Amino acid sequence: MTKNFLHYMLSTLGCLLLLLAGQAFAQSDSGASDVDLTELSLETLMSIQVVTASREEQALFKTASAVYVITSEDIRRSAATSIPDILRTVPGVNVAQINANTWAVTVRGFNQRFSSKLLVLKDGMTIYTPTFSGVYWDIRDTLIEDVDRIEIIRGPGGALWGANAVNGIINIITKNAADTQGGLVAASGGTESGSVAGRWGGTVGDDLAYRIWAEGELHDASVHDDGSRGQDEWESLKGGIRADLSPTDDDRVTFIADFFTGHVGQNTWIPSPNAPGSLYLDEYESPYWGGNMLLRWEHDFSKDVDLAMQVFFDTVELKRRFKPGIYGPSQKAREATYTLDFDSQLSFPLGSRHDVIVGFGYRSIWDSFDGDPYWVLTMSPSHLQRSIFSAFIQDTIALWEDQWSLILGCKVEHNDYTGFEVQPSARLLWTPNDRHTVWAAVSRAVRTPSRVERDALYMRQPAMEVANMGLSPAAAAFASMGGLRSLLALGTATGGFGMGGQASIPVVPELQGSGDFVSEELIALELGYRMQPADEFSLDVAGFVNFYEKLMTMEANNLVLGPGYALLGVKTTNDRKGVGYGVEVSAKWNATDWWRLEAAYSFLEVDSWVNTVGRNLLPQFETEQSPQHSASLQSSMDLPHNIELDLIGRYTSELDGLDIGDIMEMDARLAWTPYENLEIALIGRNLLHDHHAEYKDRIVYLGDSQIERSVLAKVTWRF
Amino acid sequence: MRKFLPTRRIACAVAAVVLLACLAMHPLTSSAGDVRQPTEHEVKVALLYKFANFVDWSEDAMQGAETFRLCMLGESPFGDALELLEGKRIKNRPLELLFASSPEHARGCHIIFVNQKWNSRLGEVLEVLGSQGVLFVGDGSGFARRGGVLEFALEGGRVGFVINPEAARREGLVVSSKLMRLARIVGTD
Repeated sequence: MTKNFLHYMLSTLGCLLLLLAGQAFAQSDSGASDVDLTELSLETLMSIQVVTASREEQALFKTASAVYVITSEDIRRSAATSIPDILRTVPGVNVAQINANTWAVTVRGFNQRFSSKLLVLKDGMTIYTPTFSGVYWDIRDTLIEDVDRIEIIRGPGGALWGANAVNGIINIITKNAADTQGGLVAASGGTESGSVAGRWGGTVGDDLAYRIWAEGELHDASVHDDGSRGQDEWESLKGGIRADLSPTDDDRVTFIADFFTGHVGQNTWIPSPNAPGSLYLDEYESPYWGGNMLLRWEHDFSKDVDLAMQVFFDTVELKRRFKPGIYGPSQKAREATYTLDFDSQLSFPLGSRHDVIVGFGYRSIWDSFDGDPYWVLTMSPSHLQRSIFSAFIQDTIALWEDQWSLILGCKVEHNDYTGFEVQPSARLLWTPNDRHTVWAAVSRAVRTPSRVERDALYMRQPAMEVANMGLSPAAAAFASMGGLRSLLALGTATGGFGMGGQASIPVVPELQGSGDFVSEELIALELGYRMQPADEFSLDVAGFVNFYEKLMTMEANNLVLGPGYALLGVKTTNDRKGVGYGVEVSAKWNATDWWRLEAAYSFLEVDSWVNTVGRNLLPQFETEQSPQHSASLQSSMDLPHNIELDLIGRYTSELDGLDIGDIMEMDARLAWTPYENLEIALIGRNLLHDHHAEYKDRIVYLGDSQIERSVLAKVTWRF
Repeated sequence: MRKFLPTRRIACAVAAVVLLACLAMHPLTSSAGDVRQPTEHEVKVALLYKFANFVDWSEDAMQGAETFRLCMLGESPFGDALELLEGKRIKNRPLELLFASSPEHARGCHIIFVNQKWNSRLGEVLEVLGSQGVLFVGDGSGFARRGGVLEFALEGGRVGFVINPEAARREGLVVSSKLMRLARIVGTD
């Protein structure tokens, strides 16, 4: 093993030397061949498409929080075909695909299918479902060619963004219509998916640019660990328009309308009615549709005084149709959510040292849950409207010699579940020069209750066996609940209920919301350092300690035995505390003008404990569902003859809580641009294994799916 | 309970990437190499130089000047892009590049690029240097409206510019019709 390692190190070293020699050679070459821009005409200079990231990068470099930006170029070269897959290489972000259509995505721990401590926005619209505080990533995907950038902020942003921005914020920003002029057709096909997309962008007069787009996708099902195929194949159709208008130099108006529809298959384990103690795989299908509309107006009163106002309306409707099964003949359910949101903010200087932003917002959410009584999820009340009012202020104070800044912010929000929530933060920024930035922050953020946590009459968890759930403490709890002793005895008699882990009677946990459930709270301490010792190299390090209070946990409430299974009533409580800490490092190196390398590593430790043991279930719940170590290395090469080669290696350590081993995987993209407007790409994902499991959902149990290796060819034509 | 990073596997991955890169490098060094896309800064610096050809300074302003002085007021945002100007001549004079930390240090300049910091204090700058035959160029919306002469404006990833003719007149500058045609015209607020 040592010999092997040495061998690799030596070959690596040799290659590096070769490379440096090559670089020196290439540099002396390119200097001479560069065009002298000062010789060009004004018209030519004005027509050059420039690399504009510099200012944003500068601003980013001097931000007092752990920000990471994925540009449209990064996305094009990422080998990813969906938004969650794009996020895989971001430090501090954990992405796990549960099955063909379901992902668990989180920042800084607590990964779940519905990771609640994360705010996800698209063009300023929140796209997480208020039902679970999580995101339906399959439904909310967008045409990745239209994405301008994705900003990921690790750490709390409650002072600016409000509730749910606890562990992080993911902000997906699509391109201005002026930047998507002309036509685009993209088609892809491969072993796991196929898609066709089209887009047209044009202008009306001088001031209005628009685009119209549509994309259809088909996705193959995943496999189960026993080799059988899942029923999780899915298809989607989405489209939209965007218009950007600048009627005067000081006004910008944006209008966005999107529509999406699709059909998702899902499988889930249900206790068998015929053979007590055994499970059988049931399937359901879930058609959905939805859409949204946004209108934003930005106005510059002067250089420093800017106003932005936006209003959006969003709607999503999901239906679920079970095949006939234990709970009766074909079960149906419908979940619909409508959101109306108004947001405004004004930024202005105050004296020479203060830059102030103030904002106000109002959001109204209606939802309705209809369906057969034995459906998985039932709410009380089944229809509900709730409002959120919010106001925030942020002041950036320039301190000594403009090298130090202090950023104080606070958001006050009022919601119908928990009343007023106050989320302050203080950040200190030191920028001794353009090459170094040091920042520190202390903030408080809250995660307000989701609809399920408050109002679920029951969320029937398609079953899992007692042993799998690690429910021994629960069984002990029941033993102490006198009234249930006889039930427990009965359970034991019918097949060994619980205690020794030899369970064979399936327990169907029923999560029940609680009117007492309040917001989860976080106090976060953060420290970060960015350096750019040379133009070609940059390094970003961030560390944090998160102190959580009132975390959600579940408490055994009651137990009812059914035919061949037991219904375990589980109530949400805030009876848990937690601590999370970690370090994230990322480095970018433009080794030559044709080769870029990027590496990221994250360490994460999250622990939580319940305040009162006893009836409490799942003390380890959530905390071991994110990897302790994750790392990635990306290489992007521009080869001769207009060929691009991108290689991405990634590693995540095991998920103890879910019995998932460590994963080493690799993606690759080879693209050829024979003509300026035509790109042909070969994309391979998860190349190192036939299939592997990344996650097992223990909340809404979907069966243990494995993600397969996939190969995909993609043609993109611009005209 | 948890294993640490499997160093060997990671080393393998690194080696694989590097090896592939090496394989790929050989043909590249011998080819001519693609023309690099110019950065925003390079285009702006080139435009700063070109502007001088389309603007006439009054005789007063040019009198006795042995060099043509292009000044950066405040820290220059352009970095290495300024190297484009090395050895250039403007109006039959060698181009001299000056870096001024305050308006007082920028007296006698023909073109002044006002950086972000001084952009927000343009009033102070004009109090010291205004009406002395200076072509004030700045970044960001509103610079021309507030009394700057020329303002860079990014539109759809291309560098355009805005001119305030009133400010040009105040500085005694004659702007060619071609430059006016290519620019967006604004007045002083």
